[in-house]
Amino acid sequence: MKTLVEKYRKLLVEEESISGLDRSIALVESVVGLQVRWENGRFRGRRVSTDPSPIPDGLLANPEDLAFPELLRASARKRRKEEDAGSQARAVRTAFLLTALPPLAEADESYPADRYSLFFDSCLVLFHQAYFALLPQLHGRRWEHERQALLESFRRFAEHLPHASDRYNVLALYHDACQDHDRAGQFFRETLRATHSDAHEFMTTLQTYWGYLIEHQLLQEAFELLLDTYPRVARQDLEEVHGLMASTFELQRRHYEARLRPGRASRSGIGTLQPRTGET
Amino acid sequence: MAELVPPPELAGNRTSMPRTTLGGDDPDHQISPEEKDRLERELREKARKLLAAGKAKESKKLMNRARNISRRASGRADHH
Repeated sequence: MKTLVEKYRKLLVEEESISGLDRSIALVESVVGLQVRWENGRFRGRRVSTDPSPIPDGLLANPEDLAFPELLRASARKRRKEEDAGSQARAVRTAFLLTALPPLAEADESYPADRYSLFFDSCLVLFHQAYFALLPQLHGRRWEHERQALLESFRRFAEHLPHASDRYNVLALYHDACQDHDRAGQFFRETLRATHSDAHEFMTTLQTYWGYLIEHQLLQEAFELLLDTYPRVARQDLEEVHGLMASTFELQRRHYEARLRPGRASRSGIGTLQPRTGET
Repeated sequence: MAELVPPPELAGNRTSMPRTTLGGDDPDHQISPEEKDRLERELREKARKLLAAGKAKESKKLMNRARNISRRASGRADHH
């Protein structure tokens, strides 16, 4: 157990990569004592540990029935060049793990609390690595099935997360990847609402939503967000919020300057903003 | 303006916050609030600079990594 936690903690702080994704897949499998292989278009599952597991033995015979076979089989029908086979296998294994296992862990009341905790936390790391390292590689029509399978697994995974703030955050990123920016913004807002102001992740959650509004050039909304949230911010974090306010002012200034000089600039352009963090 | 570093008397003063229960109650498995705060602040700072440089996707990556570091461990008690 301690080794698993060490692996988890290492993955938490390292950069997103395919190697990190592979180790995240292995970690989730190790936590539930399962090994899943995907060969010739079929899943093979076997128990590799006698540790407590939420997965009944009988279900290992046909593991793909636990997930959503239609999309995975659609992927399996596509033969891949050797250089693409790795991405395909990673996509379907991740989709399988995030879809099949969380409902079982959730339903198994005898699953030990520390395992339950580590399982869902490890799945969140797996989601993170898959979202930022693998999903961007799956673009174009030839990856349509894998991309859909992965996105669908993110949505289903979110439904089983114990904490509301985690659930909303995953849904926000899911909708963002689906280009549904209104829904993504709504879920980022809900994530902030579901986060207590004393929680460690409060400032990170606030900046995530603020950053999303800035990315979509919703400058007035970004500023109003900071004003509305200001009373909830801990004293030690006020200077950081002042920095976000200063950045928002700077963007607004550039935005209006650009409108006054249409021949010289067509948009405010966050790409030219120099960070002036800490200004008040 | 100076960097976003809290004054010494305020830095890492969230000792009243619950520590993560990652890995159960074994103290060896816990990340201290001070360490979480430090990692989070560094990532937020980098993310803000990336956003300002127009690299929104890279910025989001760091913000979500910061979130994973700082969030509470999952537990049945809070289930919806």
